Amino acid sequence: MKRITSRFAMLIATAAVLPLVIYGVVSLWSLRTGTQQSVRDGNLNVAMRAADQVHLYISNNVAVLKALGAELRGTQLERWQQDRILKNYVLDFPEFRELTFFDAGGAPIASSRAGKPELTIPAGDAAVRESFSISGVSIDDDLLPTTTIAVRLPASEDEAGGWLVGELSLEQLWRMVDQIRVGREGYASLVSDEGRLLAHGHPDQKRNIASGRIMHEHAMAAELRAGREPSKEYTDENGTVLATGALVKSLGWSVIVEQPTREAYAITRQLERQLLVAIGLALFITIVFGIVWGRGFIRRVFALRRGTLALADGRLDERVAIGGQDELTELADAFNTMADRLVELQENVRRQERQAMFGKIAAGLVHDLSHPIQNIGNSCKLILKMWEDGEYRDTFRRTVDRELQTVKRVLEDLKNIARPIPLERFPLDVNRSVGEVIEAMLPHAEMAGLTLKAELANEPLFIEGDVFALGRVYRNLIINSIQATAPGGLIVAATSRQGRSVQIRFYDTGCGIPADRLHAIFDDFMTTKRRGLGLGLAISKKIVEQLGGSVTVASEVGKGTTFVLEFPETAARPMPAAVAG
Amino acid sequence: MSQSGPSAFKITLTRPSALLLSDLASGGVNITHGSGASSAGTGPFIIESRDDKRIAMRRFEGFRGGNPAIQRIELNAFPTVRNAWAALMRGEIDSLYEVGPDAADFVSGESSVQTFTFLRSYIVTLGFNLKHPVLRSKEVRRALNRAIDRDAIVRAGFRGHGRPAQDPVWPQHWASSNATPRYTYNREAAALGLASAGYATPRASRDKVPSRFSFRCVVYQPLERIALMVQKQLYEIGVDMEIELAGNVDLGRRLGTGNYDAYLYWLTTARSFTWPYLFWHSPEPGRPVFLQTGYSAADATLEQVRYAANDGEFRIAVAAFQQVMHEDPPAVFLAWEERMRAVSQKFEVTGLEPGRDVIASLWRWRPAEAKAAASTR
Repeated sequence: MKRITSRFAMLIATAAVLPLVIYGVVSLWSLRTGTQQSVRDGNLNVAMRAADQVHLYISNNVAVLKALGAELRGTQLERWQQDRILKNYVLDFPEFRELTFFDAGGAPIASSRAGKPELTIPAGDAAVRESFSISGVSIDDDLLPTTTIAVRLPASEDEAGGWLVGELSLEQLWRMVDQIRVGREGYASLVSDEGRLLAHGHPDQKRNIASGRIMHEHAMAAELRAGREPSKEYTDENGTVLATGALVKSLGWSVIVEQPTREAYAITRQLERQLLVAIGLALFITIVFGIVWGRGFIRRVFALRRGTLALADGRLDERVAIGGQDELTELADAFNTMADRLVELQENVRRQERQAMFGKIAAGLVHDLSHPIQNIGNSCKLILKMWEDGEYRDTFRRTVDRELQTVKRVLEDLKNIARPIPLERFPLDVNRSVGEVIEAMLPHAEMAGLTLKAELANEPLFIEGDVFALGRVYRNLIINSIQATAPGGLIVAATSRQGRSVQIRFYDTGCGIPADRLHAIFDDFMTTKRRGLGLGLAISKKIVEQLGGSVTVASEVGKGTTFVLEFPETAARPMPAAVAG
Repeated sequence: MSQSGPSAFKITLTRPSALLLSDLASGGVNITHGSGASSAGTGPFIIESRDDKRIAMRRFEGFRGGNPAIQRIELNAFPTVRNAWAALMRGEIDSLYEVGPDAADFVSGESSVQTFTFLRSYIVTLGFNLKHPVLRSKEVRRALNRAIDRDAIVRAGFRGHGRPAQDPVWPQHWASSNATPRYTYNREAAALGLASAGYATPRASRDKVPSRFSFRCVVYQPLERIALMVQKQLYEIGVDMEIELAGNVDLGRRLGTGNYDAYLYWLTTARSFTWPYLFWHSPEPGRPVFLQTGYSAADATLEQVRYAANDGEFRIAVAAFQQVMHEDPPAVFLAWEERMRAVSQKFEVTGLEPGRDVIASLWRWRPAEAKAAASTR
């Protein structure tokens, strides 16, 4: 049987806890994937913006060179003027280490250098076809990355073609990359198309620039070159890193933004913790509320159950006290009303029973006492007339004594019903006590036309008993048999040993007792006769049981009735006088 | 000179010399065990061996300051800063002697090294040949001093890692005077000065820079960018300075023979006053000639410096020298350059006096592990 508490626990689990747990798991998953994607997108956006800035920086310098080339060629400047312009330009824009103007054949025309120019025009057909070219990146003696940009100046009607070549320090790119910070530990780096590390925001990584580190093995750079997903997580000597990258347009360089995942996803983890705490708190509150509410509900159900069981147990004064204003309260109120009603009904029944009992007792008393009182009254009237008759006076005395004995016995029976019968227990021989009663009752049996006999055991049977009380029991049973047996019938009293018990059986060939009344014949005021209190068998049973014995009855209507008395045998023996007695 | 004890000798001078003690302390004097023998050593380290690329030194346990923690030092020459830096990063060397202004930011960001900046006692100087027909004019030289924006040169040429100069006295020299008049950048005043000296408004020319006059400047190659800046500033007042790049040896030879109009070079002043004396004093018998300039205006004040009998006289003499250098400038003193030294974090640098070169405290360095071990004991 499942208890209601178990059902309630399952109800809370399925109705509140389980949905909350499922909601929590789904929310955590959504939060994690959503915020991590957001972080990746944010870092990717940083990388893309940085790539745009790098592209813009290079494009601007190319544009500057083109504009400068146009100025040098289209304004009929003297060589010293061109020289001056280039020198001033280098001084004003220090990212240009050298600017040299070449003719189409590669001979220097003007230069920012005081000495011999170190730059040359780009070699190869591809370079000549393009309007500009950018060389690979190299690290100079001052540890700075430099590149060479060559702008081709097309020939015109007045002037031959030429080249303007500039050596560009990429130090400014360092500044740009240095300024790119993601969180406290996220840095950006710039990798050339050859895989050379050009810039790195982390101070300790700058040594890799000076050492000309080739980063082909870098996971993110390889991904970008292969055109794959621009974000990736990998683990290096510093732990797990989230890397995002973007290609710099037209240059093939890569901007890579790296951030330790412990920092990148710190907010994610914080939100997860907060969500976990919130869900845990909600679960706790749900469970606590469920327990409190469930206990309140179950307590009221239990109160109803206790009341019902008490009622079933006969404790009609038990009431159910539960608060609230719901159906359970109505049920409890109805229950209490029902209990009140039951009490009233029980009182009514008891009152009626008392009234019936009182009527029965009154009727019995009237019956049992009216005859002796009437006899005494009649005798008194006669004694006034026959006072002189000495024989009658003796008759009067015997009659009055007999009837008073009868009255006294009736009153004694009533008293014995209400309290324990005072008994004196002595060892006695059952054969002797039964025999004496049979002998005393023989005249009564004969008057009724019945045969009364004793079938006694061959040996004495001793029990602890009160010889006078037992005599009363025997007489009760024999009188009942005499009254229930038609003339010519038989009444027998038999004794025997049954193991360690002594058995006395009284059986007759009387009318018998109907089966439906057999179970109540030992009750108080129960009689099958038309008159009398009906206390004989009740008192007999009480005496037998007080002496440690038992009494049973078997009867068949029309055949007869058998009463069996059984007492424990005793090893004690009566005193000689009593035996003789 | 006579020996006065097992490790002491006595020098008797005919007249006071303020430069002698500082010369002895600055390494100008080498004490050996005998003629041609190895150095006996008086400092914390003694040279064991040397060749073109490497000098090996061991500690001198009798050094008066105490026993250096570093037992042995090797000085290696690298062709470029990058090579030296890479060697430092690989742990092959423990200290980088000198980092230029361009690489200073780069190096100072590295967490495995500690960096120390100091003001070098070298001055970037645009010196003039006083035998040049134009440059021998004091008014011209004064005008050129006003035409130079020293602050701009320090800012753009040295990336701020330097200090504008006014005269050849190292600002951190104990006797240096701040009371000397200074040249401030004033292009109009410079142009007026040149005009009053007879060099009027520049004439236009098709194939040449229009100029009041021109001169050719021999420039030490690493100073090319500074030369371009000076050239531009002089051009703005109509002076054409042609630049001729030269190496160290060639430049030294030309200065010694007077084969130049002007020069742009690092001049050392050191902590002693011997170098300014030798450089700016008129040639004397028995002394090396560093500069064939014919400059004699400072002779008297340099003599005062040399024969100063006490610190007070020395200070007065130095101030007088600075005054002469301002009134009759033989050069445009451009800037004192800051330099950086990088030392591995493997060493704990202690006993460094403010403003001093970290190399001067080399004998006090000790391994950082020793410090860590000492602190845990």
